[in-house]
Amino acid sequence: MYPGKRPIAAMALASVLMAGSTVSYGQDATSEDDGRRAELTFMNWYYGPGDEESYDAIIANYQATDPRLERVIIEVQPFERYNDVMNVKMSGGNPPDIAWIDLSVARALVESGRLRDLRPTLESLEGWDLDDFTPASLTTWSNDGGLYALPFTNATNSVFYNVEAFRNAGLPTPEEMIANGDWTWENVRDVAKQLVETDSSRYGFTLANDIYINGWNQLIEVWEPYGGGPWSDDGTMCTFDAPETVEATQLIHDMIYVDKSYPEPGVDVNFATGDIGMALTRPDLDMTPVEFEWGVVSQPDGPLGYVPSVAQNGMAVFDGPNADIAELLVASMLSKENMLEYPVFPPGNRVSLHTPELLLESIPAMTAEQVEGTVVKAFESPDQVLEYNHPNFGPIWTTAQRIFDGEMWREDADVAAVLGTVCTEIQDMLG
Amino acid sequence: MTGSQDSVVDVRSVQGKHRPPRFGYWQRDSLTGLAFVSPQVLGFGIFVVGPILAIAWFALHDWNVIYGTFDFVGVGNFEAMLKDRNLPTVVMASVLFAVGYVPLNVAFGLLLAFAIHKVAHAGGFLRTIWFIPVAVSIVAWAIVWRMMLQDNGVINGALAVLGIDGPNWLRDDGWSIATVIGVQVLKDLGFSMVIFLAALQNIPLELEDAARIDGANGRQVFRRITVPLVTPFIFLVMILSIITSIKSFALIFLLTRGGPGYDTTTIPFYTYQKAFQEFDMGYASALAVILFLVVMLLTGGQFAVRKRWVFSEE
Repeated sequence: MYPGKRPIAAMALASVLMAGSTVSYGQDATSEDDGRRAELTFMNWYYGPGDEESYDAIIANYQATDPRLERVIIEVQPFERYNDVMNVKMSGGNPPDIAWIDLSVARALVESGRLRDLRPTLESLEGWDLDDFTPASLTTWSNDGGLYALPFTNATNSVFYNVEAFRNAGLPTPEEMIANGDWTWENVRDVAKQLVETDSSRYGFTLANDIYINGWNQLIEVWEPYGGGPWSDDGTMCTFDAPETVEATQLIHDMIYVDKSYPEPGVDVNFATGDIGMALTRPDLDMTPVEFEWGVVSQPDGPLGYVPSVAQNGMAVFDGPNADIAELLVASMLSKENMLEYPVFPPGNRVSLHTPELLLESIPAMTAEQVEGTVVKAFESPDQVLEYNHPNFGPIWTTAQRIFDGEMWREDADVAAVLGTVCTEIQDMLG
Repeated sequence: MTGSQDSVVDVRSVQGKHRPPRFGYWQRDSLTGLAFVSPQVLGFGIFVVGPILAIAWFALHDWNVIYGTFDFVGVGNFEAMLKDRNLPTVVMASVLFAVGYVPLNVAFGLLLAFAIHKVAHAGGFLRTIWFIPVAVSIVAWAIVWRMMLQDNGVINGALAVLGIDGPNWLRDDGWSIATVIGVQVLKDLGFSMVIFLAALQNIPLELEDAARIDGANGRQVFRRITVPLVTPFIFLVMILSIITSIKSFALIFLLTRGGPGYDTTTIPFYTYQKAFQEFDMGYASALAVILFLVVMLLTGGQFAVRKRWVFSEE
């Protein structure tokens, strides 16, 4: 991460060498020089290698074709406080021109009227293929026929496992379990327990995206395969207390407090240290420090079968005097050609980018078979579900999180009763 | 007549060349003083008074930042506090934090200063060691402590060697608030110690010597001579500690995120949640107004009763 502001103009010279390979929509549509010299702000939470190379070149190329764009200020904020900073900027009447939008606030922002409808511009640009995004992937970002952000990433999780721990415990590997049709959450629990009981690993399993700190919504990985979830499809009815959600939550609770195979709150663990037998985490996990033999497989099945969760983030343009230029710049950043040029994980949310070859290129630690069996399998699954979001996500999340934090993650918790309390507290917020 | 007129002209001419200053000595002195303090006053007005007034104005509105709504609701946000079922727990956490933090910071700061004051040969070294946490960034301090206080962290590892099963410091009932208080006290103790040390070094030795000649032992000298003479500094440290405890945020954010449940959710952290996680700026502003009034009230109360126990104040 590179927090802070950085003017792009200073790097334009270096980037221009690469800019020849990018596509720009700067000279399309309404970009006749009207005398404006716009300075745009682009706020995001990551601008590392790959993104930096890509965006710098695209911006430099855009500037070469549209004289109205004088410079772009890149403002990188740590993800942990990204929404806070966005909030302050909006309250001060000074939102960024272009911003990444975290899924948790997506619906609220899409319905807020603060974002520009990108659809008219994108449809007017020759060669800009909006059909490359599946309609389902645009649902969260659409409202009343308008498209208020483009999902520029598509991420899913995979289960990494310690081959040596499985070998020591004399257990079949997850690959063998998949081949036998045994790769289910129930069996994951059994295997995790045996890994601990045989001292093959300190803990058997963990959801690496911390359920205690990052919140209850990380339980999507186990809730959805069980047919559970926090609310109904239309977002109006609480389903925290639905039998499916209770059963799935009970499974994790039992792993923590009965089997002791899942790290309890207040314990930091890391797959790379070898303390965990299995970790459900991002497929592009840095495996460089891992010194033991490892493998990776897809998320386990539940009673509903294989239901992988998918995370998206959107790129949006806030209303402002130079929003028309910002829209064209976003169109350039997210054009098929430019996204193909720089494959990084998570890949852009375009169907044409979800080929095994490109995905393999973006996750160099994995073999082709592993990419096929995890990321490609998830992206191609007709049952994939998007991570949770709701127009009133903020208050709902904090209220439910307090209850999970204070009442659920205790040894003596009555899981069904606690989930019932959650519903009592949040039902009015779902409205 | 002519001559007289000429002489008048001469006088005016002289007056014009040596015009008396527009402002008198005292006025000039005041203006110079004002010129010197004006940057500070201006900064105070813009960055302190301005935001306080703005917050008070925001508190009278229903302000949702995302949707851009800003509707006047009068005292609606303050009425909502009465119905907020979480607020009593949050207030209790704040009170517990203050009740734990203030006495520990004052008492240990004074005892530490007294001990270092008596160990003249190693005073500088010990002073430096204890002051280091004050200079350390709160973020670095919290991250290191968070790692050490994990259930499988260094502290419990050390306790296990001694055969003690340590608690889950940041998660177990009762322990979480006590742990946060302890980490905050360790961070600030050096500052209190330095203030008390300065006070102790200003106590005339003759007074202690006279007391000893009169037969006072060490404890009596400490109680009857030392403590009364440092009461103005105890008063100062107490006020600073109360303010620190009431507005504590960073350490709680980094160590416990207010958990488990609301156990360590103090009013500032709750205000942050309302403003930045729930986007309810109006309610958060109302909480901030109440917090400001509480700080003012406690500080004012301290000043009101100070003459009853701050003995050496002139």
